[in-house]
Amino acid sequence: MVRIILTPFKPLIRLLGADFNQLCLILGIKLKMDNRRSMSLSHKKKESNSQLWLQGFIYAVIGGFMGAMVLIIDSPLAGNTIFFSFLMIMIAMLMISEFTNVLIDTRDNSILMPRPVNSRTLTLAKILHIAFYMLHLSLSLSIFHIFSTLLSHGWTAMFSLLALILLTALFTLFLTNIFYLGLMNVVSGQKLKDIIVYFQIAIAILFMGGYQIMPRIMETNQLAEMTLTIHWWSYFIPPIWMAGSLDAIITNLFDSSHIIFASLALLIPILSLVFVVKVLAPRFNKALGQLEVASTKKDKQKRVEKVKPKTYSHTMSKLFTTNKEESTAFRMVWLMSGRERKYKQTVFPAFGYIFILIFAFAFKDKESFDLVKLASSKIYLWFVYIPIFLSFAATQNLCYSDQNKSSWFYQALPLKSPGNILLGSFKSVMVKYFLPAYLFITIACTAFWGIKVIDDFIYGFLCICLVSSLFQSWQDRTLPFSQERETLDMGGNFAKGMLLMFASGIAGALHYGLSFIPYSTLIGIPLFALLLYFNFKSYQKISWKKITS
Amino acid sequence: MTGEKNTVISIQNLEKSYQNGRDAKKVLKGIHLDIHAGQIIGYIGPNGAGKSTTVKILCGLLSDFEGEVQILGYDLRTDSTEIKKKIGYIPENAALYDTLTPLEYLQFVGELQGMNSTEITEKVEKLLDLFDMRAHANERINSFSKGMRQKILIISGLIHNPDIIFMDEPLSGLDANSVIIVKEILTQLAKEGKTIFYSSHIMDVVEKISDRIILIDQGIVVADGSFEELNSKAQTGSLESLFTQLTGSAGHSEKAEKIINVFEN
Repeated sequence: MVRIILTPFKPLIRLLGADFNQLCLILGIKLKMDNRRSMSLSHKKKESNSQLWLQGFIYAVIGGFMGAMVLIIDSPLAGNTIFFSFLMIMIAMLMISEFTNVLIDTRDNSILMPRPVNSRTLTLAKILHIAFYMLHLSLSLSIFHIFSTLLSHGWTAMFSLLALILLTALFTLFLTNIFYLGLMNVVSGQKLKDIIVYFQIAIAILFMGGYQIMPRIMETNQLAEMTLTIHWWSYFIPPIWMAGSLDAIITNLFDSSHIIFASLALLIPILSLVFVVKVLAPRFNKALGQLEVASTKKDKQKRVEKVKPKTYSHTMSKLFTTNKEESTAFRMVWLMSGRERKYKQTVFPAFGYIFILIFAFAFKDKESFDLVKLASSKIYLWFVYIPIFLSFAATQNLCYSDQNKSSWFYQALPLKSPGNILLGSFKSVMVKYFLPAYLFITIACTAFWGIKVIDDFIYGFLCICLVSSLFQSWQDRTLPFSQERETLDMGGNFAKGMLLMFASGIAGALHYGLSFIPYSTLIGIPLFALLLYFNFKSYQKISWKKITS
Repeated sequence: MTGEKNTVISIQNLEKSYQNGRDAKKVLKGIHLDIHAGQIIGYIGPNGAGKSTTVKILCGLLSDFEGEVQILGYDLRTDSTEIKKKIGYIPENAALYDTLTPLEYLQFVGELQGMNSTEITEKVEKLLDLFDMRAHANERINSFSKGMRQKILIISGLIHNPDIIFMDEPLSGLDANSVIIVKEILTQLAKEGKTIFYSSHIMDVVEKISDRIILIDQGIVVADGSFEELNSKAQTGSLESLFTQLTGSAGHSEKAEKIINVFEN
């Protein structure tokens, strides 16, 4: 496949000093591996041979949403500016979150370097690999927009759009390259991976947010009439260059500002490419070579690490746990959950989700939105129960880890029952992740609705704790960070999700009903506290036999 | 290329430093070595002495070094591609493209070495069979155990029948039977005139199979010669105690005692 596509360029490749046969081999094997690599957002690791097609399809759907929104906008300049901004952000984010492992593959050092492949072949293979990715990404993201442009503005517009998309991709490559280089100068290999996790989290929130907010924006009438006035600073915003050039072709208007846009759109990406090849790429490769060495090498300086005095987690464990085993587990999970990549990857997006959901509920119907009405409504009951997603994410994902094999020590330790560890770790993530978010929402709502809602929030807090802990004790019990993600069955997860929705729905409905009976929540609070106490007690008594390892 | 004393690797004043942030750290501080064909070289030294760095430079993985290195008559700086056709490298930390199957991976590696594909297929099938890996030939490497990965690495390093073989801890993870086979393979390859550059921490193995032992510490060669030669100078009896003596970390039993004391109190 690769060979057939590259054959017409054979003389050119030879001219560049690369070995045609080896180039095809390397590219072929790289693409084969990419086809088997799953996306960072998906959790299952089934053996698949067509990941690239699947990813392309997903991107096309996302791009389709964007394209549909752009269609509503009458002004091509405004619409295309939005489109190109979207494209640049998506390419940059996806490059960083999905393809870092592809771009920074330190295995290449020990697999390809000892083989008789010259450096030009290696460099060309890398460039072509990246080029393939950029094409795959940018075209699948914009396929919808390309077709809609063809239908509404004809062939010339479509081809100029295609050219502009490629220029955008080039320019974004330049930006991400700078980003990587800057990052690699300050952090080591492992740290780099940690930072990239935050980008993956941002992408996850962006997807979810887009899904919630996009339809709302589309419904508003102003969108169709949206226009873009050109100010002096417009000349510094890359998406406007692209949109401006396309606008010139569609409207056949070539005034001074459009000509400036077109020349910027053409010149800057090409100049940036030259800059990347001449200046950035060599530095990049050097930094890459050091990356592996620097991360495996121990620091020879002997520093005497001071044993830290009692920390925040110590205080918290004193407050919330009742015995030593429990508090040890509490503090261990407290530390681990902040460092375990897989855990952060699944739990941190939940923070974003709940605030997006709150935003979505608060501004549900645009016409009837006024603060007085909102203040008299009982909409805050939604805000009491939305954080259940966070508590669920924090507790349900606790068992997964990249290094699940290192959980051998639970079995090796002379523990009578694992209950204390389970309870300690449950409390730990609830206190560390759920409690602060919930407190924040509580304070915000009390400020808005007044002190009278505080009993609802206390009631809700106990209720969510009870529901989450019941979930934990009903399902298969697993020790923290002891499971591998790939054995996840999607069916079971879906059922769990439905059960969660159902449970929180009932809890919410009950709460809504109680809100008509005066002082009912004040009676509910001690009742729920008691139930929670008994559930914790029974949780503590779980025996080794009931643990799935 | 028989047992004659012809030099296959010649290293003159090899130096290498790593840039770590702003300060450079010198790992190799002037290594001089001449290595002859048909020998097994045991390359030993404590952690951080520069063993892996030397091997990586000789295999062309690190190109910014100082000094002169000639391998098989070629200059490492200018003709590294020619050299790489004739050397095999079995690295320490098992880096493999692990979404591939052994067949796919070995095919890829073989073709990069310039072998033709039918020849590779034949060889790979036979080799996988001999290493008891036939049943796993079409499974992805990411499901393999350490020993299985090590077998793939060994095959991939030897597949193109290289004249010089560089090995970094090649026996790790292998079971006793495979260890014996690999050791036997090395001895027989050396008899055929191949040169083996063997870097390891397992002193017993190095003592037994090496024709010549090179001990480096803090970037310089501190001992060089056959085990008998080294032993006649130092009178220590085993390579392990010789190692301890030369790398200057005596008093192990006192240290052990102190450690036990900490545990017990």
